[in-house]
Amino acid sequence: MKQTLPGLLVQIVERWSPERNAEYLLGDLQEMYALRVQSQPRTARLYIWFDFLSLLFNGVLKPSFIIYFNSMILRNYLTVATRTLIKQRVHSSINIIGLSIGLAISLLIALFVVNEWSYDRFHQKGDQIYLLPMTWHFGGTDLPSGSNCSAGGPFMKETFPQVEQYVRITNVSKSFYKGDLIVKEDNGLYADSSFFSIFSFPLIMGNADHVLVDPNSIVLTQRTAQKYFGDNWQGALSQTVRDSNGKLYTVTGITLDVPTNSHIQFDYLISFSSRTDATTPNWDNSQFRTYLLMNSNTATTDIKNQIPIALDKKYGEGASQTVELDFVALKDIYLSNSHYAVPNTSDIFYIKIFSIIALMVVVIATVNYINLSTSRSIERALEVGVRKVMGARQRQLFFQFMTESLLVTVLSFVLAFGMARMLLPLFNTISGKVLSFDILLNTSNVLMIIAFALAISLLAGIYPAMVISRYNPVRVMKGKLKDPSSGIQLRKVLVVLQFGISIILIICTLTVSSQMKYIRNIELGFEKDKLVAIGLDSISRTRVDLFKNAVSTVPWIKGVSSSTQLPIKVSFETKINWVEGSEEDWRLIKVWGTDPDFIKTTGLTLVDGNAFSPDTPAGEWQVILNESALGFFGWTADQAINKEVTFWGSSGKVKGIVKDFYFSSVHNQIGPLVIFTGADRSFHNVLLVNSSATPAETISKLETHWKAVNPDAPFVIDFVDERYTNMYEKESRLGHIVNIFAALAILISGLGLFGLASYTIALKTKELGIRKVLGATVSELLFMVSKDFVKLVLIGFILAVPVSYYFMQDWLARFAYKVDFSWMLVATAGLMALVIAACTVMYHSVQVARNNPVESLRNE
Amino acid sequence: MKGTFIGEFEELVLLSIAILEDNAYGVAIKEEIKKKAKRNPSIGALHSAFKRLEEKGFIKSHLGEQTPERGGRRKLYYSLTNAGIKALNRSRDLRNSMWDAIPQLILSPKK
Repeated sequence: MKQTLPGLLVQIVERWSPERNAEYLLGDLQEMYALRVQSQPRTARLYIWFDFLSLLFNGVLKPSFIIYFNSMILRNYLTVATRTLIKQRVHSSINIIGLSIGLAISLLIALFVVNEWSYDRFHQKGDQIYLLPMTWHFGGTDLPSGSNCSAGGPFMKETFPQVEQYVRITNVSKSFYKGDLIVKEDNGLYADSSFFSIFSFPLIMGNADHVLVDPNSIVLTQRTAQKYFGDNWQGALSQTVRDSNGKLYTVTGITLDVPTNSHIQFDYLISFSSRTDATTPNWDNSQFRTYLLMNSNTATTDIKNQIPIALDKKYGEGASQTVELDFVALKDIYLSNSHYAVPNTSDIFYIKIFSIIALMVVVIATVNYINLSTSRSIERALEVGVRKVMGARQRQLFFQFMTESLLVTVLSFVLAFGMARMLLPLFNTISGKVLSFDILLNTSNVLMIIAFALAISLLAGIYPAMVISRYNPVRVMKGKLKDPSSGIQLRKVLVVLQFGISIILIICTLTVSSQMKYIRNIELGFEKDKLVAIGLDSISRTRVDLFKNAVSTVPWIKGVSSSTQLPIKVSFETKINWVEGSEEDWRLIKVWGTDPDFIKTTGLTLVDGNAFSPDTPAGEWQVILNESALGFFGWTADQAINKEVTFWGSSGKVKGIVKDFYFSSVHNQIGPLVIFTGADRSFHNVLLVNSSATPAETISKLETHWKAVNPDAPFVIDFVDERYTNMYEKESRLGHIVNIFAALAILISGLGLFGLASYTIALKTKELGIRKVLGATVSELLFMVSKDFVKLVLIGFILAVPVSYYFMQDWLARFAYKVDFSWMLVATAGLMALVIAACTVMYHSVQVARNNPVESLRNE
Repeated sequence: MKGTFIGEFEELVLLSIAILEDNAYGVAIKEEIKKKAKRNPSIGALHSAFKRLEEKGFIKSHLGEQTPERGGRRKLYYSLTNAGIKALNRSRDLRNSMWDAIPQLILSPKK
């Protein structure tokens, strides 16, 4: 007869049967199995498990874990756990405080990360929407751009049937009349009429298909509508708003305010058809962010491979050599680490770093629990011994200790929630976000938090519980378990881990802050701290010269110059031709349109040639190059003067060379730059003023002068150094957050060490007493006690250095101009950790070492 | 009165034990119910019923001999106690008296 029951089944039944029922239960099962094998040989083996389940569900079998969790025993566990917590106050509060700080921090980080992942997820057709970025290829250089040319979107729609719709958006900044006031509105977009059928920004009023069709249509957000139409904003439809040129825009729709977790942000939308170039798509400049709505189930990789062929077919052989189009899925835009620059996006690198750091802090806190509980185990040994003698099973004791860790974890979680709530406003300031706990309050997230709490209590409790519940009662009762070294190896490893992580965080903090200091104090090459920028609109632009005359005698104004852009972020690029008579040989270069007073105003250093002369002949440019541009064109400084370059249909002679200066973020190398001036300055956007007055004075006095000249144009002022600082917001945020983390990590590790040291030293009281009697000095005793801990911290330090070196190299590689990874900083970090550890240990050891040995030795 | 009441399934089990006399053990009782009542109780439901009945004092059990078809494991035989027999009787008397009280007219099923 080959009809024995599955071995596993037999084992489980034997284990889970109360009293001695296993024998006849298994007998019954066996007999039924044998019967079934004859009637239904194939499924017999499956059915036997159903029989097993029926036994289980009818309560005939009792799984062992249930035996340990009937309500009486559970209540007993809880009582004992509570008593233990109260009895060991210091120990438990170190545990709970450490753990709850760690958890509070990781909660906040979780909020932050969840928020970052939530970007752009509200679009109903989100998985069909793609950004269409492009890359220019010129003479061996690649210039990736998050935006596209105005012809990019139309080309894709004509060529590929899979493309349902495209929308192009580009920034617009206008000044509107509000009563008699003029308000500058920077945050507007020109958008194609398909905007609302592709994206899900809900319209309160207006028809999604029609709002952006006609020229001079404007769609306002609720907030903007309220601003211009007050409480009657709902009656704004078909009314008009007037810009500073007197042009009228008809309000065709009102949308809800744009959610903060959208990378597309706007206060108003103007129909793309309002642009003069709307009907003539071209490949001249890439300033239009273009999004495509694809058919569902379209593989973008297939289309991407067909694009070069289609480009060549439409624009002639070689077109695909210059222009490359790409796809970025909507959900990847915000957090992508791609080389396409898209405004208002984040960086997955920082999300990863924050998550890792949060995890590290939790690990440190958990390790604390393991460490302290294991080292206290000897105190509990007697209790375990007595319980075992009275008949407690090892497993019951195990569960009892697990209950303790569960209780500690639950308390810590409650405390952590309170702390996180209190810290949230502060955290919002640091992270620049508006976070709330609401996003955590759905079923799946709550379940996740509970699961996380259980996991933590398991992780923290399992090792101590195993060690303690395993004690042999006989040995314990005989007092043979006074060996404090049980589990000492593990504890040492854990202390090394804690301090390793803390040191990593300290090194990161120091490196990040030294890089930030470097950025702040970098010599940009112009008078950043004195420059202010006033926005120009179409009216004030025509009166630049009037204004310059008006302030020409003001002593604290060194110079005034109109400009196409702010000096900190020069981004205009154009095709330039510099070989006489050759139309073909052109390259892309950054250009900066200015007026003749530019060099004086900014304080740039001329290394050769002259500054601009006041007058430029009509139809010509005057040009000044930076040093990098010399290399770009292949000239020496002497050769360059009076050489001719051509762009935008005019040519100009090189007048001078300026020393290289920073005109964009320090993430990038200083590139070649053409600074030029000419009679036509209609494209200038800002007025730069070099003022040596205090900021408050500068604002109030400039405004007076400005209003005298431009009573009807808005006065919008920016301090260049402020804008410069804002450019590095991401980095300075990282700096702040890592700072806080490092401090907390140290605090928690310190707490852990404090607890551990107090215990270890308490065990050595007698030894120290004897040594003292035999003539050891206090300092010798201190050295003896501290040396073990110092050794651990040193090992942690040695392990931490390569890890943090790797991390920080990775981070610093994002800057073209940066500090070196400094070994001085590393040494400082190590020293800090060491001092903190030493102080913690000292607190206890000094007490013990100074004690009169009589005290410690008299009780035996 | 708690403890003396028996449910329908418990009644079936008690009756099967009575029928089987000396051979009343798990699988046999299961087969008996299957044969007579045309229903197939799960082994778990049966054993939990045994347990309940034993706690109420209606049946008692003893271990029997080892048999090869059970892999050398012994059977647990059940037999009725006096209380069990009384409970069965009480249950039958109750039914009989209620049957007797029904007017003749409705005794045949309606068409």
